[in-house]
Amino acid sequence: MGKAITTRELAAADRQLVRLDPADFVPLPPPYDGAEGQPPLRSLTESQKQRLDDSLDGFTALRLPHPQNREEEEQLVRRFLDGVRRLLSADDNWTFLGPLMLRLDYCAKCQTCAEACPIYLASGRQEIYRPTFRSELLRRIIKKYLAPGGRIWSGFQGADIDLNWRTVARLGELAYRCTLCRRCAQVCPIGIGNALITREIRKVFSQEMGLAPAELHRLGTVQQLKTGSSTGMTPAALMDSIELMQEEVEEKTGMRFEWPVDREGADILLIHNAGEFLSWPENPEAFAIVLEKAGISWTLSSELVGYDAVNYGVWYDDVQFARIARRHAEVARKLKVKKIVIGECGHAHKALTVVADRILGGEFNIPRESCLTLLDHLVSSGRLQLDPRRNDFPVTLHDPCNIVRLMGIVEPQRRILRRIAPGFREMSPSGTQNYCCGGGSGFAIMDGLNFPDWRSGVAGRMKFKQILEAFAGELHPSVPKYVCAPCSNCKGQLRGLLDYFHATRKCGIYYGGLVELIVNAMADIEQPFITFDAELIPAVPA
Amino acid sequence: MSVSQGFCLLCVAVFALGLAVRAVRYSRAPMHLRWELYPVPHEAGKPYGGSYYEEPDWWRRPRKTSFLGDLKVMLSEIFLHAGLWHHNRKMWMVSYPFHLGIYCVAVFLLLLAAGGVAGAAGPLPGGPAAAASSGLAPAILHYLTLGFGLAGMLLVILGGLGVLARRLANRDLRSLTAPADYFNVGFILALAVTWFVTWLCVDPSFALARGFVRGVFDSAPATPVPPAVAGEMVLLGLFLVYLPFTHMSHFIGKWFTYHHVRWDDSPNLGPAYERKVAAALNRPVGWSAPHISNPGKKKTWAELAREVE
Ligand code: SF4
Ligand code: SF4
Repeated sequence: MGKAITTRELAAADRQLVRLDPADFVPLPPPYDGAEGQPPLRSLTESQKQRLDDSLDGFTALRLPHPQNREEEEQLVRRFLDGVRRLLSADDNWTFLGPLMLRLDYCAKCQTCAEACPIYLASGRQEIYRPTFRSELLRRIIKKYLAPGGRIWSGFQGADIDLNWRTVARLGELAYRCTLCRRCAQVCPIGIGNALITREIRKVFSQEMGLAPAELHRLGTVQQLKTGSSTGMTPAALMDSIELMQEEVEEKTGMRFEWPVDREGADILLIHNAGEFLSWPENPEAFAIVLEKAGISWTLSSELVGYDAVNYGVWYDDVQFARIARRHAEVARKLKVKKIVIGECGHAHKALTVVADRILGGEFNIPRESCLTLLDHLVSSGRLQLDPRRNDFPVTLHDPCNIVRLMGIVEPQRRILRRIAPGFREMSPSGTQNYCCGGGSGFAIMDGLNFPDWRSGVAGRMKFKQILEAFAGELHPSVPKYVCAPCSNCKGQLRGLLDYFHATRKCGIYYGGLVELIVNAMADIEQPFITFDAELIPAVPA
Repeated sequence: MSVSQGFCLLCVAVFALGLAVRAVRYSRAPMHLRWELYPVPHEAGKPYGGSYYEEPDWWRRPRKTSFLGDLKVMLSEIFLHAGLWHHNRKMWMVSYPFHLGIYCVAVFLLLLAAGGVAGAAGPLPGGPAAAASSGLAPAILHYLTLGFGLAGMLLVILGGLGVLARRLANRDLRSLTAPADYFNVGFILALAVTWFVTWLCVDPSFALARGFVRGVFDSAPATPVPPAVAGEMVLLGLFLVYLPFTHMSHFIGKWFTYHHVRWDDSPNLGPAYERKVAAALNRPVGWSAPHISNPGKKKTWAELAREVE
């Protein structure tokens, strides 16, 4: 169990507050039950430590430079408090003021939420990762520094916190130790969601102080709005990549067809997470095959932002969020499509379909639908010729938090798998109770410095445990196994996770999307669409 | 009306006003972006936590909601604390009796008030003899008051001690508990003990307490009550004044956290939301980060959203 840490200690001197020891982490089943289950966590190098603040737990997501003098320290605190003040304003924060007030006012500190948090549990119950820890910090800062008479009552109210630059820096970093999976909120008897507070803290840093992980802001939303995609892919590069994918489809399936791009008046505008084009082109390819075979009227867009469903704003910044959501709607409006269908990207589902629902009014309120709903409809309507025997390997399903717990799309993906994958089995727990992959809230794309070690070693550990348990008894590497994760970010996280634990080589565990499994089951395509890496699969022992 | 009776009446008014202010504050908060969490129990026919987003072209279909679904969860949450039972059994063991005791005490206070009001209008249901002699209704009122009062006080004392002991003994709970949290439980315990001791020593049928309440509604000059009874009433009044300003008013907050956030999945399909969206987007934005602010001018959300920064 992690060491008890008080909120007051957060303001204390220069030492690193917590040192994580993998030996404390939640144990994994064989073959990861010994040292195998505890790959080391790298520290920052000395020169990185000299520049950047890692005083929370030795990791850094924000990459905050040490302030150079007292004035810079004071400025950090002042701007932070200004930002918190804005959080409480009906104009600046109409987007979440109501839920925030409720979360600040009512926590009963019963700690029911802690037992639901994959990060807290996986880390061996580190106090700083407790869901209420960061909420309580913000609550105490407000009580002491912004509430009337706060300094007088602060002791009685437990607001024993000193606000200095250390507190601010550590709190900012702490806001990036939660995946916003909201599993904690699900069990809270009062209905409090600590993740909302986490996101509000991220907002203060981004919207007021201009501080956010580079992958989310500078290389994320800013790049997306300027160049068209968070991957940096321009419209011209998109067209090149579509051409390549068309050729690949022909090679794999013998099907030759032009992918519709910017086709006005199509029924469906399909928007993928642009990461798919670069990392997993088989996913957009499989979508194209399915839609073509089913005779659907669809199109892709080549307009800026219109070909990248991601909206990283949903993780850290309401303004950036609104800008991207509006661009998505604008593109669909111009193309005069009947609806937008969002590809296999969880946070894009939640962002555009649900959260943006109260930003997109009038002409921008274009109907939005999940690709899982559409695929389920196509599979069950019998429009595709499917032979489940082609998926004759063990398959388990990861439920992306954004699609399942946060949006209520639970059954369509299961209905499909029950039809096309005879080796399908659930993880435990699953559905709305499932654990986050550990890459949520932007972690999957945050690859800087030593953060990936924390992401795989801590944030994704419960998920890895679940995967091993789902395939118990079949973990020999000669049996290829498929973790179906219909979400681009979850796939990014699984790629890192399986790599970190060498799980493909050691246990024959692969990952991929759902639509690839559908195409793999298509009876009228000769070659298997999914290929397992033969080099990684050792022969079955005699 | 005596001074203590007047004071208690004022306390009840402050209590009601305090709660009303809280409720109005939450219900008047601006419309927020959707942030619901599944399972949402009013999604009809989807007990596994599904939503209308599972249906193709969901916006064309009539939305099927089930009030019964919400009601079932609400009732089991209010009367059984089902959430805590499922997710934190050890806490439930102490918290449930404590809260059940508070419910009983609340009913007891209402019965006491009913008895007082009835007394103000006619004969006062007093001790067993008086009650029995004045008819069936006063007798029922008398015994119900007695039952709820005693059960409530004992459950509060037992549960409250349990809550305190658990909070003090368990590091996880202790670490983020504030002095105010101990004080709150202590205050409730002190109230229950005071009332119990007064019942035991001075007011075994609660007739004096009922008389105190009746005096509030009575135009006749106040009849003196023993200091112990006046004391317990004043302590209760102080607690009522204090309660709305603490997280103990979570019985109000819970309505909003569940209905206005966790279960609020209403899609923006119609003029009511359209108007709200337009109003929200017209609000000025004051955030200062370089990608937002435009020194000297406050842009609206709608203007900002149009920018490609
Ligand atoms: S957030 Fe909810 S579950 Fe967690 S401590 Fe607060 S009241 Fe309890
Ligand atoms: S949202 Fe998820 S990761 Fe964050 S505190 Fe809650 S359970 Fe933990």
